[in-house]
Amino acid sequence: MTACAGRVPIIIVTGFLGSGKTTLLNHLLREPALCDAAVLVNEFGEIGLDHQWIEAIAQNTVLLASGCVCCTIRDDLRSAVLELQARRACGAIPPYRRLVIETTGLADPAPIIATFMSDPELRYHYRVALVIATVDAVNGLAQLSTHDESLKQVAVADRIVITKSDLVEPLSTAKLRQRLTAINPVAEMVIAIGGAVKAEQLLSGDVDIQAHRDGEVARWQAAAIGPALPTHSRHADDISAFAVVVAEPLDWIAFGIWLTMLLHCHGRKVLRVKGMLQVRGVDVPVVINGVQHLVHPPLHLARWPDHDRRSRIVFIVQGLARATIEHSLATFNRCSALIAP
Amino acid sequence: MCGFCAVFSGVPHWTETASDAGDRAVETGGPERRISRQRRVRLLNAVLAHFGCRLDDWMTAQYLVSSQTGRTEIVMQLPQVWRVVEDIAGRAVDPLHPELLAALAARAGLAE
Repeated sequence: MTACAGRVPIIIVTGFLGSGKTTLLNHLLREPALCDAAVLVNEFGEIGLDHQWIEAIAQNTVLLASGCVCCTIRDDLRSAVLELQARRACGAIPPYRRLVIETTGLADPAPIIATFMSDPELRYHYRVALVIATVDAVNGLAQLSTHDESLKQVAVADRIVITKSDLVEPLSTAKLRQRLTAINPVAEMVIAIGGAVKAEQLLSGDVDIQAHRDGEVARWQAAAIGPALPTHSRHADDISAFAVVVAEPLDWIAFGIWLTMLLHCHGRKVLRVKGMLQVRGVDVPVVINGVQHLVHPPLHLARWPDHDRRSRIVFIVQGLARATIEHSLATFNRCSALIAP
Repeated sequence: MCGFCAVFSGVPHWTETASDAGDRAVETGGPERRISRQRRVRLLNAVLAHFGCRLDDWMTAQYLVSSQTGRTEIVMQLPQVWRVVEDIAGRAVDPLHPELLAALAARAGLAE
C-alpha cells in the first residue's frame, strides 16, 4: 500500500481549555472540503457541535509494552473508530472522506497518533494527516508558560490557529506569534477571525498529498535555514527548535539506526522531527516526519527544489543540544564506511 | 506469513520502507532487501559491541540479539533491538553518549 492510497485522512484538533477548538470546528465543518467528515470528540463542551456524525469517546488508555506515555494506546479511541468503520460499512452512516478528532484541552496528541500508527487494523484504513492546535490570543502566552500540555500541543502541531485575536491589541498577538515561532517554527500560523479559517489553508499541511508536498516541505526548509530559529534556549528544559544541516549525503541504513536509537533513548524529549534528506544513492529528496517515538513512513519529493542538496532536519526538543545531536549524527553517518557496499 | 516456517512478517518498520538502500523497489522485497539487511546487521554489530551484545539476521524477517553469556532474544524491528540491548547491558543505549561515539569513531578509523 502506498503512503495514503485509499486510507481515510485523520485531522487531530487539539488546543488548551477554552482555546476555541469547537468554534473552529463548527466553521471548518461547514466548508465543502470538510462537509463529509466524521467527527470524534473527547467530551461535549459548552458550545454544541453542529454536525451530523458526531461521536463522543471516553478516556480509557492502554500502555504499550514499551511503557512510554507517548506510545500509550487509546483503546477507547480504537473502539470508537472501528465502530464508526463498521457502521459505515453496513450503510448505517454515509461514507466519510475524513475523520476529525477533537481532543480534550489537557490532552497530549501523541497517544492518539500512536493509536493509529501501531494498530494494524486502524493503520490499514486510516492515516494521521494533520495536527491542528488552537491557541487563544488572550490567554495563550500565560498558558504556554504555566501548562506543559499547552506547550506540547503547540510543539507537535502542523498548523497553529490563533483564536480571539480580535479581543487583544495587535502587539499582544505579535508577541504570541513570536513565542509560538520559537517553540515550533515549522508549523504555519493562521489567524482565525471569529473562528473562521479557510479549510484549504489548514489541509495544505498534509504532506501525504502529492499536490501539497513540495510547498509544505519548502516551508519547513525555509524555517530550517531562516532567521526564525533560535540557537539556544533560556533554560536547559525549555522546548527549543533548531535545524541540523548536513552537507554530505546520508547513508539510509546509518540514519535509520541512529534515529531509532535516538528516539528510543530520548523520544520523550524529541517532540518533533521534520526534514528533507539527501540520501546516498537516491536522486530525489527523502522527507521524514516524526512525533516523539513515532515516525511516519518516509516520502519522496519529485525533485530537489533548488541547487542546495544539503539535508536539513528540524528538531523540536526539550533539553537536548544541537551540537550534541549534530556530532552524533555525523559520527554514525561516517561509520557507514564500515558497511560500504 | 512465511508458509514454511510460520514467521509473521508484520508491518514493515519505517527504516525498511521507501528509501531503503537508496532503492524504492526494495519495499517489494528481493535481493536488494537482503543486501540492505546484511549492511544493517553489520553496522548494528559495530554499535552493539559497545554494549557487549551481538545481532544476527534470522530469515530476513527478524533479528536475534545475543549477550556474551548466551542469552538470546528474537525481535522484529529496530526499536525492539534497543529495548533488549538496554535490558541486557543494564544501561541506557544512548547515541549521544561520548564514549559510544568515541568507540564508533575508533572502530571506523575516524579522527574525533
